[in-house]
Amino acid sequence: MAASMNRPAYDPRERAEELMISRALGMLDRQEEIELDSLLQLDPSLEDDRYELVAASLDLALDGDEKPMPTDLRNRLQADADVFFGVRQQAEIRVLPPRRAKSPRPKSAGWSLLATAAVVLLMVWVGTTVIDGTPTMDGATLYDTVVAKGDLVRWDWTGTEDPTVAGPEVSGDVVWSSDVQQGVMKIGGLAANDPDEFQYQLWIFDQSRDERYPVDGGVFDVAERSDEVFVPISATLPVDRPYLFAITVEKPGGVMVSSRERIAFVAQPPAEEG
Amino acid sequence: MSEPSESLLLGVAQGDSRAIQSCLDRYSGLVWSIARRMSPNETDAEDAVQEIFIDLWKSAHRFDPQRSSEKTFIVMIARRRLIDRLRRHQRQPDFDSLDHENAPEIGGDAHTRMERDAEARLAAEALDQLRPEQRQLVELSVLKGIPHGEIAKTTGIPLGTVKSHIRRGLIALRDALDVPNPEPSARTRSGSTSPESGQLRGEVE
Repeated sequence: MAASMNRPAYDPRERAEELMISRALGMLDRQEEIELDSLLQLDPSLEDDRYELVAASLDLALDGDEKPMPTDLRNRLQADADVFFGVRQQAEIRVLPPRRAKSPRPKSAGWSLLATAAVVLLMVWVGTTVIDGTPTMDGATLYDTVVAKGDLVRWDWTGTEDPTVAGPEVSGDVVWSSDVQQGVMKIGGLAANDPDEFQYQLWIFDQSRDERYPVDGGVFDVAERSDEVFVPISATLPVDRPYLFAITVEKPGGVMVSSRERIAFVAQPPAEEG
Repeated sequence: MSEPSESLLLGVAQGDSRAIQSCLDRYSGLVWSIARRMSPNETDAEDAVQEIFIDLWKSAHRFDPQRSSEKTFIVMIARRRLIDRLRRHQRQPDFDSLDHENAPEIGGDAHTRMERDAEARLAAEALDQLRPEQRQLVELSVLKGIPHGEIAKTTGIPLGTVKSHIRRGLIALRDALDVPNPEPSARTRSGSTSPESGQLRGEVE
């Protein structure tokens, strides 16, 4: 058309670059933003964040100031991070539930699944029993190791009226070291569970976190004929000032957020400590 | 903790709680300062900072140490969000509405302020290579976020010249800084929000 022949040629690459420079400077108006979106949709290879990186470098070069952030805002950022990564962590647990193989004679097709489960269990075990680079150790040894650390909480378990609490013979305690971010539960008096029916899950309530989002301490089972079991705590979020440990009864694989309907054991500081 | 800086975002991407803590400890002051400078008031800046760190948690896996320092990457994420907020609120970065107390001086010797980051030092050196007029326009645009039209009005330089100076200035700086092209697989943006939908775009995972 005659009209378009008088216009300069429209070079999408050049125009996209021009618009991306404006974008890096926050100067895109609405029409330009739509134009850039359209160009990038037609050819995603045009996307180039180099101007944004250049603008960021200049920002640092020209200012680079660092003012102290208000404490309240810093706490909110921490709470946001706890929720963001906590949910992600829980979702991963749901995808790969650390369940124990139960079937004594697996079907042939189940071998690979069992092997995978064994690897996952091994990874969970390794991840929860390494302290200061020490190789893996059994729960009882780990318990002694944590007890030997400073900055320790060590609180006895109290049973509830949940049916999983096997009579009055509740024993054991939970030890947690905030210094090394490790802990172990010694548990006696909790009923053995069938992992296909339910599992136990530990929750750690920390004074520096929102009470609604306790830290997940891991899903575990109690085997038959176990008078006392040692369970390493698997808390991937930091726990600095715990004030309550609670073991809940959950569906196989654990949950992202506990309804807290079935609480079996709790451990908290004695009244004089609290 | 003396964790190497470049590994922090890798740790964050993997959900490592200590890396997350270190990231907050190390960069919260920087992000807060930029947010104060590019936000109309303190409340708005606080909201922006919370959004920026969520963007950062989502985008940490995109960090490429071959292309930028960790600090520059984080500033890019912060600026992107702040620019989006300004646009979403249909506020062109209005110089008059910004907090003057938090706006740094322009035109000083960037070298004396910038002893802290090699990449920023390079940028300052590259900026010095620009012609004074061009340098001033780039500074006004990048640091203050003043619209081109406003710059043209204030400086008396024709709008077309302002635009072309800034464009050429940024291209020159890009070349001087030698920022590698993004990998084809990384050609998606995260942490930016469409003004209309409020939906994150570019997250393809």
